[in-house]
Amino acid sequence: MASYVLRRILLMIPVLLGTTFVIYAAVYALPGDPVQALAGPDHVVTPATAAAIKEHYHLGDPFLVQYWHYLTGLLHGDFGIDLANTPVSAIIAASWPVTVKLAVMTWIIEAVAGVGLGYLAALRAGRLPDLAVLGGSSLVLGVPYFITAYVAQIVLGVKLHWFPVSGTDDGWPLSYLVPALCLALLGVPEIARLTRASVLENLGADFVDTATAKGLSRSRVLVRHVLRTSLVPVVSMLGTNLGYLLSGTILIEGIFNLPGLGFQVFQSVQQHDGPTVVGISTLLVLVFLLVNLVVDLLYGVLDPRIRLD
Amino acid sequence: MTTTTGNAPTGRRHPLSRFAGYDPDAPPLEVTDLRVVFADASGRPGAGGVVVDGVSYRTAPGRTLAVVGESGCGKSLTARAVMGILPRGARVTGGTVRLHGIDLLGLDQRALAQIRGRHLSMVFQDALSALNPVLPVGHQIAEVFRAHGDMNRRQAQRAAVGMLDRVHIPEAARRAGHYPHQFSGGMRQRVMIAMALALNPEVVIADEPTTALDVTVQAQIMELLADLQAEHAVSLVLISHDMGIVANAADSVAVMYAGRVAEQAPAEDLYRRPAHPYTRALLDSIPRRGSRGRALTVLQGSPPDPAESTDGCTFRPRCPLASDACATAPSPQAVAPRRTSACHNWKEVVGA
Repeated sequence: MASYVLRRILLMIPVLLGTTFVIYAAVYALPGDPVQALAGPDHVVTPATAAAIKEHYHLGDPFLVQYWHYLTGLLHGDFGIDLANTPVSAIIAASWPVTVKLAVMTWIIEAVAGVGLGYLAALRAGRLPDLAVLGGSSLVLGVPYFITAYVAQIVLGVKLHWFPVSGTDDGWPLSYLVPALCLALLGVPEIARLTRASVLENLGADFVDTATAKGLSRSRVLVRHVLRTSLVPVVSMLGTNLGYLLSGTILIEGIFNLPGLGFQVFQSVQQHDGPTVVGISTLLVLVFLLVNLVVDLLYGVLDPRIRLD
Repeated sequence: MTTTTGNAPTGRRHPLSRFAGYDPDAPPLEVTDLRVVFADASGRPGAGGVVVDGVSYRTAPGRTLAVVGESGCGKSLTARAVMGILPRGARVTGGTVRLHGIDLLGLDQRALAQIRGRHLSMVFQDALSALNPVLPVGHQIAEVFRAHGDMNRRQAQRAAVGMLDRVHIPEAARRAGHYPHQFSGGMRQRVMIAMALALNPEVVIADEPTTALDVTVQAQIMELLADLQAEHAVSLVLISHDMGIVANAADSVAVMYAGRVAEQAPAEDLYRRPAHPYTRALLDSIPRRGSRGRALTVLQGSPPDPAESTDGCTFRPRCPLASDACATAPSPQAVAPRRTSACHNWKEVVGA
């Protein structure tokens, strides 16, 4: 187990190298003059200033040398500075909590509603609750979620004034509730369907008959034997979803004007802000890898048949 | 309702006496005219093929009743109907199941749960799929104690370890924390037996308990079952298709064919002088020491499809003795005391 974890962590090194390289190259290849962008659009840059900027930011060096400078900085915990001279680490520190709050809230909604609805649907398979869950999830998945988000924003925020329209001024949880609900609409149908299929499969399993034959009550059979066993694949999917959610949600953060990581990345791409894009992206990749590692470890705990070595 | 001490400690009412109809002198398990029907093509439960068609058998305390027959003859479904764990779509449409006189089919789920596992339990064929893969075996045995006694978690766990020890699992305390996939086939079946016998039930149904095991392990498991049965006068229903195992273990035998009981007899009589052509065919197909080099006797054809109703005796298409009389279905006929045969021509079979 310990060697498995170590191996997984070591494997992250090439993955991180690869992703930073690709993202760095993509930003390098963006059209436009970084010197002009740094100086500001209306500023006339004298050749001496341009040379100084190029010297300071290593812009005159070949691509690989630039990448090397960035990488060594990164290893010393230096994410670089953005166009406005703010350290990228400060940008991350400011926007990370917003994304975490949104992600965790969305994730809890996905887990509770997804598992609950899927479980209910499976226990009433073929009857009204089941058909409602299946039909409802098709409907929800059929409508692009940014449309739902705009509608929710207009109805719940602008018209009814029940919730803030946008921004984080009302703090947690009020400002995050509607965005999290809209975001959860992506995950809930997925989780519900997986839970339903998994519960249905286990309802017919032999060990459920054994549990019944032991004289356990119906509710104990359903919770301890059916639900517990059915959750193994569901937890795996929930974990992957948390990874996605924590790595920022550009659309929802954009629509509801939440200054999270996704929002920052989107802005930085528009402004050709290379250091911010690469810095945040690298962090997101790292978070995604770590969450997946935790999920895989948890998978081994939930299903003892899976051996991690 | 009779109040009696039965085989419970003197001075205390037997736990079964709170159920209506309890009679300590009634057979531990008595199945009468049981009918089980599958769902039809459109999925309506209990409207399709008849898979158990008027089965009756009874057990005696401390004795083994073997139920034998080919796959699909309804022997397992009868047992599942007794336990109340029929597969989806299957329904009991007639007959009774009585445990010491208590009508099990008339009980609600809560009452049935109090009887299952404590007074009536089951050992399943495939222990790997019958045990929960994600719970330690000790926990799964402890659940029986927790469900029926007022033990706390630790006491139940200790009792579970004791049961593992009783079924001769080495290092029981350590093994209790292991999961089913970490045991061998024979050890898993021991775990199943520990679970079924944890509370010394009056009746244990063992559904092909040794089918998935190799021959030496088969013998060990059968021996273990016999030992535990003798300790507590358990009435055992042994479901099997292996006439060899049945010959060693059974006191009486019910031979099933196509959802009906073809013949029922004390084991010794049945093996010596079968009174139904199907029983005789089964016995003839057992390989014997002298049969080396000769072709084995094989029963030609296959059992009827329960979805299609047949007129007359269901064994007729495969029967060497079929006559005109067989166009009407035979009801069980008394051959001797405690012995019946559902064959018009049983005299011919016994005489042959």
